[in-house]
Amino acid sequence: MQQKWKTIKRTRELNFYIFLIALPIIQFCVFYIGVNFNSILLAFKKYDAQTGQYVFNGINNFKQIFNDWSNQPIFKVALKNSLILYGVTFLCMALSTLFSYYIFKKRTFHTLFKIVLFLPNIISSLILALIYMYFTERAVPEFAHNFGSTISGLLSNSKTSFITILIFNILLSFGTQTLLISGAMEGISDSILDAAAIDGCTPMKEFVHIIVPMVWPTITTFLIVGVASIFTNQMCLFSFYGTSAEYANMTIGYYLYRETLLAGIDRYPYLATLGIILTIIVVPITYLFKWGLNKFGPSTY
Amino acid sequence: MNQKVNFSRKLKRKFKTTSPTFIIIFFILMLYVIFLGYLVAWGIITSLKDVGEFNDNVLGLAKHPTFKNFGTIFRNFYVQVNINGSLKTIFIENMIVNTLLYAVGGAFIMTFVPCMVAYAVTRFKFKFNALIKGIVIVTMILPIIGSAPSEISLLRTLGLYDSIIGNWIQKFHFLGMYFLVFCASYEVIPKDFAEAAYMDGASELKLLTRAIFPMIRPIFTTILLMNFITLWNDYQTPLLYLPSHPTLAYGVFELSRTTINELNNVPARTAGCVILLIPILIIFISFRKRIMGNITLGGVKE
Repeated sequence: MQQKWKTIKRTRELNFYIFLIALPIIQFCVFYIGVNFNSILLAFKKYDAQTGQYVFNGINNFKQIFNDWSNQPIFKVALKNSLILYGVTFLCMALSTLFSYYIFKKRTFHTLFKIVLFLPNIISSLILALIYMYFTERAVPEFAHNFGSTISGLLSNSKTSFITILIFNILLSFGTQTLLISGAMEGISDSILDAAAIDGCTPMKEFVHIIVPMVWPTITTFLIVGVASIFTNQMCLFSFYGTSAEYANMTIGYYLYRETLLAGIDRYPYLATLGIILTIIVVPITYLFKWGLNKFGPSTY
Repeated sequence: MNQKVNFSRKLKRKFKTTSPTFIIIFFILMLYVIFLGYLVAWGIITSLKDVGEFNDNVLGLAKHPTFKNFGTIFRNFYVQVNINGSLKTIFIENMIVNTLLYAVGGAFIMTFVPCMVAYAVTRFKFKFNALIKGIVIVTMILPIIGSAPSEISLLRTLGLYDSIIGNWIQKFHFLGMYFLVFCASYEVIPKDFAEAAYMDGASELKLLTRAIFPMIRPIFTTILLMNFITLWNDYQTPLLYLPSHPTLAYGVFELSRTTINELNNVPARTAGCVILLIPILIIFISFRKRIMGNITLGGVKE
């Protein structure tokens, strides 16, 4: 009797389980596996305008991309900018960790700082980018004029545009990081910090030797996710310039998005191939970087 | 007056007992707050100036504040989209409807699906659970780049491209951090509780809707709000996948590039930004503690 009850219960559980997961699993098969499989297929095809169909094209798309990579400076510039942006991520991470420490220690105005640092995660990056654009184009030259010098808008001047965009990206980068790292700091045992204080540990020493090693897993998570997004980060260029950013400012992420938006279906195979090549490059780098951070990062002993 | 003096004394005392590390961080943070605050305030003040005043007084406060720009936006703000080769004009009312369908519907789906799959995985012991969890972890770490052309091509084949329902289907997945957050939340609910309800004759559906869901409702609401804010602010996804269903964010992006006379000036464009900003600020002010207090990496604090 008990066996029968168990079987009925198990069957009911299985039915409900299938009811809950069936559609999301089908969706995953179509929109993740199917899409990526289709991406691989597209990389070996080209669009035949006469028949309106994709036809097999061998490895010509790959050849074309390697050819473009060596002949068209846009790719090299975009790669350089993407890597610079990732370098800036390190600086932002260091600052975020310091800010988190300040908030964790509940110093003057810590609640205000926490809210303001988080605001760029709430306010649309488009709104901030547009206000920043009008500000740097109209208000900054006015400021300069009041101090007796003449400058043009910072974003429309090719000499200042890249650094102006980088500063904007720095402004936007602290919110989630600071919130999560200070959350991780809350988990550090008070007894460790009390012992350090009794031993006369200064805040800087406490930060470097206790706090950073203890929140290192959270910091590495952000850095690893950052590696994965080297080729997808658009640096908010689309918000500033739409599809017409100067190529000297482009990142790979912006290039891919812009091309996808502007491209006709005949260009999809080329873009799919580029995506596959970049994925092949970035996956091992991500895992290598993860291994390096775990191996050579600070230890909690 | 006395309060001001006390506050200043308190601040001085705090600085005397603090280390140079904190003083330096304090000044960096103050600079950040002042700059960001000034930037947003400048945008709002600019939206209250007319074009003439703005040209004469770019930096100062609005001497004659006016809501004229907001009226201009509501009257003239439109986006032209191409539907089957013919141009169609979409006005702000339609953009609001599109935004609600995109942001409310999308946020609900993006919250509901991981919530249900996480429940299935934590409540029932089946071998398939390990695969589902594995998929979530791998897709979070494994970066797939440039799959948009393939996705658009697939959506076109399925007849789902450029449709709100198609977009909802795209969002009907369980991948991402929130799945792990829901798993963590279900795992702290005592197993006996569910068993007792089950023994009392409750069906699985009743157990989920009447007993379990009320317990995780605060987390569900937090994630729903986060997803709503993300989608409300998102203009690039509609631009790519819903080109003929412009949302407000999409419209504001187009506004920044428009050549329509009435809107081709900074005060009107900043007014557009403010219109998009206000609902989000209201939500943030109303739910600040919930949004900021409930998040930790890999879990939601209760």
